[in-house]
Amino acid sequence: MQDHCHKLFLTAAAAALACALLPRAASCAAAKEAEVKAAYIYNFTQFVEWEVPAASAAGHFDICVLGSDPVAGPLSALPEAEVRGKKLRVRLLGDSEEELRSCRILFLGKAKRGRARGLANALRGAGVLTVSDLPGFARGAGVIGFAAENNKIRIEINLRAAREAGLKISSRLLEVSRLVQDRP
Amino acid sequence: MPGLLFFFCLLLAAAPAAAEPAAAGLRELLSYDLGKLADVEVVSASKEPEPASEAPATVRVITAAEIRERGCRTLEEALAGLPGFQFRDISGFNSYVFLRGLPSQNNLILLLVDGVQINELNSGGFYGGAQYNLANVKRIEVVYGPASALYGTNAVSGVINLITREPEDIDGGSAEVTAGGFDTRAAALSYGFADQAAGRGASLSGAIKHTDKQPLRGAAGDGNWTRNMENFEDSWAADGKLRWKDFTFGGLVQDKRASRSTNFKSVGTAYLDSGTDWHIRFTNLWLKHSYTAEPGWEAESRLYYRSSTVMDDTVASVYNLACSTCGREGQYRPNDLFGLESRLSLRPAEELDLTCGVAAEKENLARDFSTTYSGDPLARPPVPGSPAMASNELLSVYAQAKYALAPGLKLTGGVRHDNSSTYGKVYTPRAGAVFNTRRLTLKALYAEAYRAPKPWDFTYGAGNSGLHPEKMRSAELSGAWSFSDSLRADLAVYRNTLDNLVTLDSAANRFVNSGDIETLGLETLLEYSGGHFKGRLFYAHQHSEDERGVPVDEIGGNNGGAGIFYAFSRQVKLDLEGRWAGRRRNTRAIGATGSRYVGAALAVDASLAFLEARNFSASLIGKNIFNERYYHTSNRPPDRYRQPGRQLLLQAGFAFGFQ
Repeated sequence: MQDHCHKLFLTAAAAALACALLPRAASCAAAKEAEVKAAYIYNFTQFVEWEVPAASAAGHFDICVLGSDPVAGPLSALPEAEVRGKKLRVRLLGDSEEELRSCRILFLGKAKRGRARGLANALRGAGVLTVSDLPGFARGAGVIGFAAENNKIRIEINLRAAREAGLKISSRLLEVSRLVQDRP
Repeated sequence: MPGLLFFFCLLLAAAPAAAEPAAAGLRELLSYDLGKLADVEVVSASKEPEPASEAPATVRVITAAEIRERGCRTLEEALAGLPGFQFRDISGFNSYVFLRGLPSQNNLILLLVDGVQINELNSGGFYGGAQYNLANVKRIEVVYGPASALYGTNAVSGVINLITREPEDIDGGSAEVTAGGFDTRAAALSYGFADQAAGRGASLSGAIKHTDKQPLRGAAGDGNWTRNMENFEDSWAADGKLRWKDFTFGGLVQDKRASRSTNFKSVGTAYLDSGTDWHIRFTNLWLKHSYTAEPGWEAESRLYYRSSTVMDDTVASVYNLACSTCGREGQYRPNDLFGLESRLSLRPAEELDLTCGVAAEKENLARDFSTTYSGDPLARPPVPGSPAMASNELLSVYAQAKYALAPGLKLTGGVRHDNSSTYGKVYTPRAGAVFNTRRLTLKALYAEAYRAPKPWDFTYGAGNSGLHPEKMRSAELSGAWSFSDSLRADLAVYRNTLDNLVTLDSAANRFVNSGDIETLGLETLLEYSGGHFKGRLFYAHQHSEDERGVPVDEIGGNNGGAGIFYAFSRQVKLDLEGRWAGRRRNTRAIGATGSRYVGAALAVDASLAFLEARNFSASLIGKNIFNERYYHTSNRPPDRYRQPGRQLLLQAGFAFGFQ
């Protein structure tokens, strides 16, 4: 039995190793993570109140994505919906920073790593909910940051940034979030 | 078979890649409320994170918030809020949990803490009671139905996974004290910090508890015990995690001392009901390495050590006689296990998820207790020596594939092969189809499972080394419908057959493989969560009968419950939980009533959080607030077990965060 077990173990280990070594190009886990983030962003439309009117985009509630990011895919697949009487619209801005103030929610993609803090600061008071998964985004002047922890997506909220942006965050959203402060 | 698995892996991993994004997952996620979205990870059903709705099993989750809101003090109290559970609480050193119509010694459910088993090694049954530090549990996942295709032995009725807090979940410290009825006193502490940028974190948590339980002296215990009866439970637990980059070291120790007096009658017997001290300790240590080479390509390996030892200062029984095999009976039973498991998760194509793994374990188990006697009921027994040991080597391979056949529709197939030096080879397959739309989830599932006989079974009485595993086959249909973002209902119907039962042959005084149990069951759960209010209503029906068509003892046909939670303000919150259990057939007629049944009962618990301000919290917890007098069934000499009456507890806590 011992010898048989030994052979079995080697075969099984070889099977696992073979599975492990097969080279694969897979982007699915990222897509899944992006789907969770997109679902959160969709939820934000219901749990945040905008006290400052949008700069333009009358008739539309714009969710914008600045810079390329996997979240753009699932956001673009959001179903047609109305948010606060306006038609939900997802705009992929690419690298253009010209119409940021017309966005109600602005997701800053990973490509904007170096510009995120500056942009978030520039948009304070404009009624734009800035969101990003860049590390420490909410501590660096952004309103909401995503942090991946143990295969889950956590929300970090900077209440001061939200207040300065003219946003009221519902207690329900605060309950599932971690509150953070600006890093000095 | 291993070769077949090898090619199975190769074949699936080599499937062509496609690049279209799947919208089904997004639609599902959009139907989640925030709390559910924050809790989207479920690891137990497939050994990898996935939404419960996509898991090829019925999965229900109890969150840390629910544990706190309901004032749960034991694992059983937490599980009682879900459909499908029944209990045999012997009001003593253990209590037994039945899921989906199968009575057992807790060896048909696999209990995990952070993915590592904590079932007692010698018998395969986990221990109920207060030794689980629920203050540090962030989620309890319950996978209903067989799961041996991933987890191997004991995952027959289901799997319960207690997931404790990570260092970043604590990121600060907390302390909690509880005191109240039945001389209950408890304290829990947690401390943790994490530097995510540096990939470091550490946490340490501990709890200590004492209770004297419901008084059962004299008439309160049907006259089974004397006025000197002891019925205490003392436990402590400590657990911690240390993380450095891709490595996590985890440790858990549970130590429990309890009187064993409810195991026997003392009135009219030679047993005394004071002086017993059942001392058992569970230790789990593990080192985990997680590796993500690129998205969709993850490997995880875990080296683990488990021990469950009946300590050598245990006093199992006290006999009211003076002789060489009388007085206090000391027992000692060491058991431990080393194991290594490696698991790989791949997504070789957009539609395909693949998991495969290898596990090797070596168990060192006592063949039986090592026993000594003091000869005098008042003297401590000598420390028992080491008992004869037996070893078991187990090698396992498993693989599971999940294929998205069409938008929203996923097919799952998997198989596990276990090869034990003690009980031989066992194959356990599973297959399922899961269909999800934004509001609807439908699942059609088939799975097999087994329970391996352990030394407890092999050596009982005259002994039987020829025992074979009990085997389960299960078919299930389940569905869930979200009426809105706030209201959701689910329904599961199943048919389970447990063959090759390990049953006691009284005439031969040993366990034998004989008979089977067939169960037809239904569970339904309705949940509402909106604004300040949460509500829950559940019902389960199960009918279990043996091979002769005779209903199985201890399984009630109907049970259910309801829970409501209301937040009056941020500071004041109230939770009410009601559990109704229909009447159950006992293992024999009950002397006190002349009936073969224990009656139906409704027990109501309440928890009022009246201070949740700044860093302080305080709660008043009432168990069985209407003081319902009710009983559980028995398979021990006492005919039935009285359950605790009203108990009031006051709990106060303080927490601080580093942010």
